Order: sequence, then structure tokens, then C-alpha cells
Amino acid sequence: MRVLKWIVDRCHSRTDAQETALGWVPGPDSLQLNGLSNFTPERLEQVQAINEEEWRREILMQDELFMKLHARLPKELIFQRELLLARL
Amino acid sequence: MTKELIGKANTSNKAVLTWVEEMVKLCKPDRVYWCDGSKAERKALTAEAVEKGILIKLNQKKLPGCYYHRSNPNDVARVEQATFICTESQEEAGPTNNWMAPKEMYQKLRGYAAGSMRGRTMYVIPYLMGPPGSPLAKVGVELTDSLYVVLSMGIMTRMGAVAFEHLGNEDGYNRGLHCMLDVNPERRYIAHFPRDNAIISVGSNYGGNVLLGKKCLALRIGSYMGRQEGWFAEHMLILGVESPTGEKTYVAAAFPSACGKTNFAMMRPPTQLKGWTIWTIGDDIAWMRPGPDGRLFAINPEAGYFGVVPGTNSKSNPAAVEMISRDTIYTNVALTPDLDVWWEGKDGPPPKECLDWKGNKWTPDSEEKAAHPNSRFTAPMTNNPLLAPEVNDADGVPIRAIIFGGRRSDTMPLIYQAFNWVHGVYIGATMGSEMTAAAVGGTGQVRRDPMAMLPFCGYHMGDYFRHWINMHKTIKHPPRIFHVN
Repeated sequence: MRVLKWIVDRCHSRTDAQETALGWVPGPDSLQLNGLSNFTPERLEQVQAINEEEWRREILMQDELFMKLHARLPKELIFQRELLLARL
Repeated sequence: MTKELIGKANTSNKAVLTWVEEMVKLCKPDRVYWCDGSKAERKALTAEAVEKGILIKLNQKKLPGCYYHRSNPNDVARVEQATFICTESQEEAGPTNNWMAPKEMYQKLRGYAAGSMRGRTMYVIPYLMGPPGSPLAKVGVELTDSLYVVLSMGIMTRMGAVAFEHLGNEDGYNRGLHCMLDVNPERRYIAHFPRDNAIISVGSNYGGNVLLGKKCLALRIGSYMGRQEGWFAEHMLILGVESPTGEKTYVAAAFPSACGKTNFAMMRPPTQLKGWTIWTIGDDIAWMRPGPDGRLFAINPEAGYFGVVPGTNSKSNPAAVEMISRDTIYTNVALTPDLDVWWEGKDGPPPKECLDWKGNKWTPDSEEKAAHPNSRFTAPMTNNPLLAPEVNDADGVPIRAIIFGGRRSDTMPLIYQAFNWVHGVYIGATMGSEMTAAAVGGTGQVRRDPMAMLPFCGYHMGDYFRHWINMHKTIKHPPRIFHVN
């Protein structure tokens, strides 16, 4: 729900975000963590972590579908993948 | 001879009458019944279903208006191997769809359908997908020999006279033929003919295979139409988030089947977020079209929920627990001695003994599950305490955000937002999730499911991505795109 609230606030340009390789993410204060007994800022950092190794593997796995659709895959999606690799 | 058989048709639409007559000649039912969608009709058909053993009447004190159905154990989920998209060319259907040439498929299925309804009644189900009077709404007519389908369609769609009213004298309705045959998996086909706006389903009596308005029309044929006509037919829930100030924001979210869409769509905010409310518009399908003001407007074309039962409890979905306590059809859950239902994950202790989904005796010591993992509730949306009043708005609601997600045990962070629309399309196109029980298969590996549409895209997936990218041109104020885990 707190994630949904952040999404809604982002839609209305009411909250800011940090830029990462994957996209915009909530800053440490943007998700109201009050009242969550076992969800600390450290835990948030953990679940938001971007592991470069895992992502390289992820992109390789994505390629399987892209290759299947090769004949009609829009080149924009290849460009997006390259941009992502450039950011990681 | 045919004229007598046709019985009392509740429409004068020539296209409908001609087609129904053709199908009657093919299937040779003993009797044809035209559904009008009235309460009296539902009462009578339900009583007939109970009498025929298709439905078991549940404990009406605990579960008023509720009934129980067991499907054939060989028929408990959608079957992707038996689902076909019959476009003119195989190229058009793409490598992610099963294809057969339309001529060949028509011949094959007409062969199965021929005379298949001898000794049976053919029900004519006119149904409307979407609010009456909405420019986004579509009409379908399903012919079936299954009472279970009739009663389920009565919940899942706006069924009856209202559909024929919306259709008027037009010919643009979806033609759906469903023949149960002998429910044999070897003669089970669910074929779509996008060019003809037609569907034929034989040999099944389960959910998504036979409630033709749902996956077949709303998504497979729908997505094909969407590309032709410039709109989206998506496997998405729609919800409205209301802030303490009364401001409403509508979001659409795509998760692969059985990933928690229904629970998400009916979420109750925690007490720390006082004053926030989640309203459900839809839990499975969204039809979205650019509006005159350049925003993207969405409707839920369905009228009910066909949700997964196991795991539903007051912690995961209190609104659903309340909703399914009346007027609901339960399929493949467990049946207790006092005609109550039970499933793994239900509130409270398991029954000392009950009948499992196959009808065999079950006790907590049994190794097998009492309820099938894909067992379902079919419930009218009017019983959802969190139903958004906008659900009947002809113009739909403006979508501010699109959320893609799936279950991942690693790699994916909790939440991130796309930098722009095309980046968002890439995020949707590369969605993946650890597999679930919704279709015949295994569990645990990451399966790619772009926009959660892999089993439901009515044409080449590459062209589908192109459609998403192109739509940016017609939506002046596109929704923001997010990804959650």
C-alpha cells in the first residue's frame, strides 16, 4: 500500500525520487515506513538493491524471448536494452 | 422444423437469427433456449442445474445463494497447448501462439460440433462486455450446451436482453460456439478466428476455456481488435486510490495469472495510512482507449470475478471473504459434511473430514490438497464492498499509472519507475515471474510474460510491442509506468 501511495504521489508530481540504473526509485524518506515493525530503512535498502551480476543474467534471460520474436521485434526495445546495460 | 426448435428468440437481429439457425442445423440440439438474463430465469436454471447434479446447493444459512461445482479432473485449468489463434497466416499469429489455418480448423471443429448437441439443450447467451451505452463496450453471443457456462456467464458478464439492446440491428457481435462434447482432453480445442470475430471451443467445461467473454473475447480477440482500432485490451486490474482529501487516482496493473491481482485490486490499506481507500474497478481485464482530452480511459468489460480461492482469508483479502459468502459459485474446492466449503488457507482450522475436489474423503492427514490449487469462485462484482461506483461509467476512468510486476525471489527491487513511455514498454516487455498453477505446467522457474499477455495475445507479440510503442502518438498525457516485485 505504501508503494501504491508513492506511485500516486509520483503521478501528481508530489514526491521526489532517486535516479538509478533501472529507473526512478523512492528515496529513504519517501516511503512512509512508520508502523512497520520489521521493515527498517536497512531492509528497504536491501529490497531495493540492484545487483549488477543478477542484472546481467537477467538481460541474458530476456534475450530468449527477444530472439523468438526477432522477425518483428521493434528496434526500440533493443535500444532500451543497450541503454540499460550502459547504465548498469 | 428449425423454426420450432429455435423457440422464443428475444431479438429480431437478422444476423444473429441467421447464425443461430446455422449453428442449430450443425449441432442438432433437442431444444434451443434464449437467455434473457432475468432473476426468474436464473432461479429456474439454477434449480435445473441442481436437479441435474451440475451444481450442489450449499448450506444456505452459511452461504446464501451459493452453489458448488466439480469439474472433470482432466479439465481444471486453461490449456495453452489446445488454444489456437487462427489468423490468415502463421506469421500473423507469431511464435508465441499455436496456429492452424482457419479453413482447416473450421473443418475440424465443425466436424466435432456436428450433431454434438443431440439430446441436449442449446443455450443462446447474449452478453455485453462493458457498461451499457459505453462506446468501448462490445457484444458477444455464446451458444453452449453447458448450464454451468450459462450460470457463470450470468455472473461474469452483463447477460441477457441488455446485450441485444446495445447491439440493435448491427452485425458486429462476437460469435462464440461452445460444445462440451464428452470433456475429453484429446478432443479439446479453443480456437479464435480474429478476422471473423469468432471463437469455437470444444471439449472443455472449465472457466477460461469456455466462458468465451473472458480470455477469448476480452483479451485474444480484443487485443487483435485493439491494434486495428487503436486501443488496448490488457490483462490488467484497475483500481481507484482515494486519498484522505477525496482525490481519486486510477491505476492499472498487470501481473501474470495467480500472482495476487485480485488481492491487490481489493486491498485494504493498513491503519497507519488512515483515510486512504482502495476501490476496485476490475481484477483481471482492462480495455483502454485515448479520450478526447488526450488521457487514457479504461473500463472493466466484465461484471464479476473469477478468482483463485486457495489462500483467500481475512488477512489476504477481507473484502473477498465477505464477497464470496453469498451468490457465489465455487468450483473445485472442498465440500464439508454440512455443505460448507473449505480450502487451504481459509480462516479457521481445517475440517475433521470433508470431500476433496475430486469427491474423495479427505482428512488433515491426507497428503493431497483438499481444494485444487486453481479452484475458483465466480462472484458478481455487485457484492464487492469495495466496488467503485465508476464501474458503470460509460466513458471509463482516466489511468494515471500502469504497473507491471511479478513474483521474483531475487534481482527485482521492490519498486522503480520508468524514465519514459518507451522505457516503460521495455519494462513491460521483459516482465517475468516464477511460475504458478493457473495453466497446466510446473512451478518455480522464471517465465517471461510480457505485459502478462503471453497466453492472451491475439497476434504476433513483436507487433504487439510495436502497437504499445505506437500508441504513444495518440495519448497526449500517457500514464507513468512502474515495476513492482
